[in-house]
Amino acid sequence: MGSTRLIIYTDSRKKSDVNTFKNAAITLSKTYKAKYAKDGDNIKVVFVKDGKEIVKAINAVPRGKLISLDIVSHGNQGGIHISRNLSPAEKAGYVKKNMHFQIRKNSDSPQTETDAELMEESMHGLYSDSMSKIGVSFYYNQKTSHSPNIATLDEINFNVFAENSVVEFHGCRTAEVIPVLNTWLKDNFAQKISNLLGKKSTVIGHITNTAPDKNPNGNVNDYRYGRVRVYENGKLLKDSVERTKLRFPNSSTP
Amino acid sequence: MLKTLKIVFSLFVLLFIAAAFYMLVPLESLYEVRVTNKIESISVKYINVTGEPNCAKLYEVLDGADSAVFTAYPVTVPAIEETSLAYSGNVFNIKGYRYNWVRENKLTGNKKITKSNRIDVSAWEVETPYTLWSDELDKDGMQLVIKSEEPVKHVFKDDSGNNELYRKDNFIDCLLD
Repeated sequence: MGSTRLIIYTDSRKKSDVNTFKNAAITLSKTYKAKYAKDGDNIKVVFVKDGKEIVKAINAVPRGKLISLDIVSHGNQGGIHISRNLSPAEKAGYVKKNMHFQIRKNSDSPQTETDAELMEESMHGLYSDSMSKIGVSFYYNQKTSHSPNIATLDEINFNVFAENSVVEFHGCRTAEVIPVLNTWLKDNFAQKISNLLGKKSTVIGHITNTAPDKNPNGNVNDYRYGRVRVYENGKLLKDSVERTKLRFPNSSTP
Repeated sequence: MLKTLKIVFSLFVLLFIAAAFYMLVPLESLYEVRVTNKIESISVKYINVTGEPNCAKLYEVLDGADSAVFTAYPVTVPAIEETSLAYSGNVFNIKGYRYNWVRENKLTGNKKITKSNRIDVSAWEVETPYTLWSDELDKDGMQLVIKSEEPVKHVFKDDSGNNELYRKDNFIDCLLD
């Protein structure tokens, strides 16, 4: 029996984003089929609506068989970000309202205090831990409580991963390092998952936002370009390197 | 010794309060106002930035650098970003109201005005030909796109100029770095 190659693409509030994720996931599956089907590997493309479904898809793989995991989704340094419209909108509460307003006030995309009063979206993704969930919810003013399908990394059974597995996140900023936050206080999502994997496993995550339009090779269904960080055994292996030039055993670009 | 410690501690607390005050600027209010009540026309291009759910997708076509547009729509006008026309490279002509940010010092009344990305969209139409998402899949299961020349236009018929009729999304500009 060969290894499992799991490609997950996620839901989004925007249908065009889901279409883009799906086409990128199928592009990856074609690459894997061309390179690894002869080895008897089982290549699976799975659509998920929330963090719990990501966990379920990963944990369903037999022990030690998950050789590659690709997640095509929205993202940030806190995790795989999935949000939904919250209808009706709910009051943000004093702390969240003020945190959201203050965090964004001096950014290029501020919100007014009136904007911050109501949460219009809820969170449903997979995040590093509870602190990451809170951080993301403050930044986007999104509801986290009472989202039964939101998940954190401690729910994943990391025994399903092969010793030399490759994990690649195609969404944005999962390997971003925010000064102070990610240099002193906590790891970004890509590094956090690298800490939990086998010593020979590799994790690849984008540093900036991803826009497949900007892919220099012209393939709008491929996120494998742009600046990335690569982690191995929780350590930084490559810092801010161009993805198109990278080759790793067991990855979609061996 | 105890006195010295008290002085150091007091200085630390004062420094902390000063830093918090500097960062939070509690005496500053921030709000958006329409530049004018006249409708402006702009041309925007759809860029498929999928990094975050809240990434703006429409960019005003300018000489040199394109600028993100944070659209707000009345309930009767569909958001471009939510239609099947939301595809890379499509160009839309938007008519709407532009905004400025106002940072006002509550003590002195001094105001600092900067350009906002927001536009209240009163009408939009797509430039032809354009590409749109099809409901069909190819043999591998990929979502197909098709070319079209059929005009698509939406107008807010009850536009009275009231900005409370427009719903704003929590956009961020994802192409800045």
